[in-house]
Amino acid sequence: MSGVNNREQVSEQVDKQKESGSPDQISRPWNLRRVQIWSFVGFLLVAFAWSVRRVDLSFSGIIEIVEGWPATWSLLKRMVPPSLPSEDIDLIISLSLDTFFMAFAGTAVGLVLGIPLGLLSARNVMPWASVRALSRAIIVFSRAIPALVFAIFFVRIYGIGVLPGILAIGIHSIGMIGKLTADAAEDIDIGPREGVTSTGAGPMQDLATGVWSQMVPTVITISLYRLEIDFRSAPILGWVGAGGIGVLLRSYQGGLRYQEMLGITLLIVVLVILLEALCAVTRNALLGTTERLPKNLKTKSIFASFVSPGQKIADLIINRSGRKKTQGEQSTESRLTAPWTVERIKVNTVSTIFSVLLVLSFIIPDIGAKEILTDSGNIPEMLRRLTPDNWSWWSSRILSDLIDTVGIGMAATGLALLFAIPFSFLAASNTAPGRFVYLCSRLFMLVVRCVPELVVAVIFVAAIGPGPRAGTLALSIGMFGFVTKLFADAIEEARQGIRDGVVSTGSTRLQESTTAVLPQVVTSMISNSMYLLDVAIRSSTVVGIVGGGGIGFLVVNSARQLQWDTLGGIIFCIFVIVYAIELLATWVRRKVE
Amino acid sequence: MKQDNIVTPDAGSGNGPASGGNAVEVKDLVKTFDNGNVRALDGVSISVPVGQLLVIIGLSGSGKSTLLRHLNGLHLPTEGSVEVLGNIIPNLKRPELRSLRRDIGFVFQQFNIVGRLTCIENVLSGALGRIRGPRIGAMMYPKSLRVEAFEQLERVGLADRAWQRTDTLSGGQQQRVAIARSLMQKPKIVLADEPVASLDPEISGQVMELLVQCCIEDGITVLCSLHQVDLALGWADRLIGLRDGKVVLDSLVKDLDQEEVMGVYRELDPTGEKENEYSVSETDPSSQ
Repeated sequence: MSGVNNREQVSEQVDKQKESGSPDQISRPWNLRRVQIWSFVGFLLVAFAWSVRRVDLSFSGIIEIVEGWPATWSLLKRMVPPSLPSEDIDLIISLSLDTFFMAFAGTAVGLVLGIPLGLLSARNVMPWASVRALSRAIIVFSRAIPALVFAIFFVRIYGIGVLPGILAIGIHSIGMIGKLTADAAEDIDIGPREGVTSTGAGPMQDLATGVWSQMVPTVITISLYRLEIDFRSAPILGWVGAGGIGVLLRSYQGGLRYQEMLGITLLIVVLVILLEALCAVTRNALLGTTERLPKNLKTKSIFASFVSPGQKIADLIINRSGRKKTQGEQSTESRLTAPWTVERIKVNTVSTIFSVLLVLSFIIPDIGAKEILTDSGNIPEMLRRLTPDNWSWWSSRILSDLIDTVGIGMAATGLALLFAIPFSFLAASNTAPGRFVYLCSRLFMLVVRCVPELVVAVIFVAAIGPGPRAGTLALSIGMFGFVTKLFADAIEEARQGIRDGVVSTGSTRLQESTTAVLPQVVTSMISNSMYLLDVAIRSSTVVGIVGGGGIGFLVVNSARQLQWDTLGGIIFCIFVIVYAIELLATWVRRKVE
Repeated sequence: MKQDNIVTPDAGSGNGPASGGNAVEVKDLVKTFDNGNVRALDGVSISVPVGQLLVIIGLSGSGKSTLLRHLNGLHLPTEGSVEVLGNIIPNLKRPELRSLRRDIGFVFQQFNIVGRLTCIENVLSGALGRIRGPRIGAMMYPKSLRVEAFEQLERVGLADRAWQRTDTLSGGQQQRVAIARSLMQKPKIVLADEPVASLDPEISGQVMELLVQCCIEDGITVLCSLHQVDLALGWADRLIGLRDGKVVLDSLVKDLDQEEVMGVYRELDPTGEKENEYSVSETDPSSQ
């Protein structure tokens, strides 16, 4: 009976709607939010168009590249086959080791300094606002200044070698480590902490048991993530004399030995891939899939689907010792020490390996402990020289290069997004047209992501000549790999149920992707795009160091000509720009989330 | 800094009221939140003799948790005085408050144990007040404390889970770990804020019984807030009813007859709107 009634009601409603449905209701009404969104989109498009013109990549610019193709092609031909000269092989090996340990020790320095600073800037750990503000300022500063700029500074103080590299990586790492540590501390559950406070624990006890123990998985993730980033940035530091394989890259480029240059580039790529695999294995062993992580750190490793040997080995050991345990009664004594569980074996193995590597990284490369003692006294003097007294350092060249820098960053972001949005659907397991396409796309991205941006920039500068054009293209490749992975991961998290709903209407695959998947991931895409812009602007400040346009050229040049106040002024400008973009990006991300 | 001779609490303090002064003395306690817009406690006065098992009943929002949280200084009073074990709480400096907290175990509704840590680490954290300095990992605690933590885990029946992470345990087991942590403090008072509200009825009875038994054994004064009146009747010495931040009932359980118990329900919930909040638990803890 009620069914009939319902049906009548429904048809009545439908009739009503038909009567009242005037044509102007067919299009979506405009409201303030919609106006805001579309004007922001319009602004971004204009900004993108401007930036593409600025970096000479508009239509005529592309024609120029195509017309210049024969020259480029002959240059590229001179790069193949890549080679590693046998007479330098010892040097190559020792420099590669230096690079590895430089990144490793640098991250360690970053952790040692960054974690305490992060805790000191967390609202629920440090009650004094002044201390929080101070540590936050240090964190923001070290995040905004590129590692290469720090490297120039430390090379000036300690001379050419590995030590400046370690310090540059370490100081720059403070920024990210500190910020994420502070976020992690502020994200902890208040409950367990109250439980610890209620037992009468003191402030340090509360920090260790109530706060730190909750943060551990996040801190491990942060550390490994940072280690990966530092492995990618370490190879290029040699370009400005901070040790490692970059020295060789520069000398081959200077000597126009293109085959060797490509050889070293490929070597770097292989090394970075290996090191990322090491980080992935470690992360898997330590955290597995059981740990609950904050969402912004839940990035699946590119290797996640390929490796999990840690679990198997640990299971094997446990099964053996477990069998023994059940045979004999546990003595009271042995109950009081932690038993050998899977987790404990993994943690102990990994921490042993890392401690050994850490010790080695201060032994194998010649870091020159003497210099730390003798030359550190020059730091205040250097800092004073870097502080400009007046505006005499300012020139129109600086202004135009700064605008170029912003242009490079925006154009690279736009180009990367242009390709990443369609491509990410091929690289997500749930939207890819087939397993083969998916695996190929992921593999392609893995390789693209592992090539350090500045190394790509070196190749591009060699191929199409120096200038913002080369820098933009080089950056956009790196950004493409980076953002496609983020997008693809977001797509893989889209809910299947909604897709089923759309598929049930008889839609095609493309329709399904645009109707069911895209709306689910669009907010995360916008948020990631803003993050991408942030990262791209940071990188665009340094591509000029290898000839890729923007302010980077003046950075090296003023250091070379000992114009310290100019360098200091430029560093200040970089800080302002990067920080402004970061604030903008954070603001937009908060709006859409 | 080894602390091998850990003082056991005076076993003679015994069970039942008035065996040596009052453990808790609350006078005209008023607590307002949100700049005085919300009056969570409105002139509450109670005194609890040492060794008494007191149950506070009331609807959600009646001020039970707020009252308990005043007793270990998690909240500070807006007006009135709170005296616990001879200490006037608002007057205490932080170190003094910490040393008072060492004598007060707190069992939370949401357990509030650290899920990533093992059971024994959580229990050991109950001893933090007795040692100096931060600890990371169970092996950093002195052996005598580890022995003690095992004894407490044995009392709550979880010694075999000692080295397991607490987030792998069931809700009832997690609350037992939290109880063991409180007992590890060697407290003189245990405050339990709806300790079984997030557990199912059968487990609730078991956990409640465990808590009460341990506290009676150690001669601990208990103040426990509960939803279910009948769960309290099995063991409580005294019932206090709160409504809208005021005490509306204060009676020794032995003086209450069945008729009056029904009156308690009506007293707390005159409109009968929230009757189902007082669900009768399926098992009577006193019969187990």
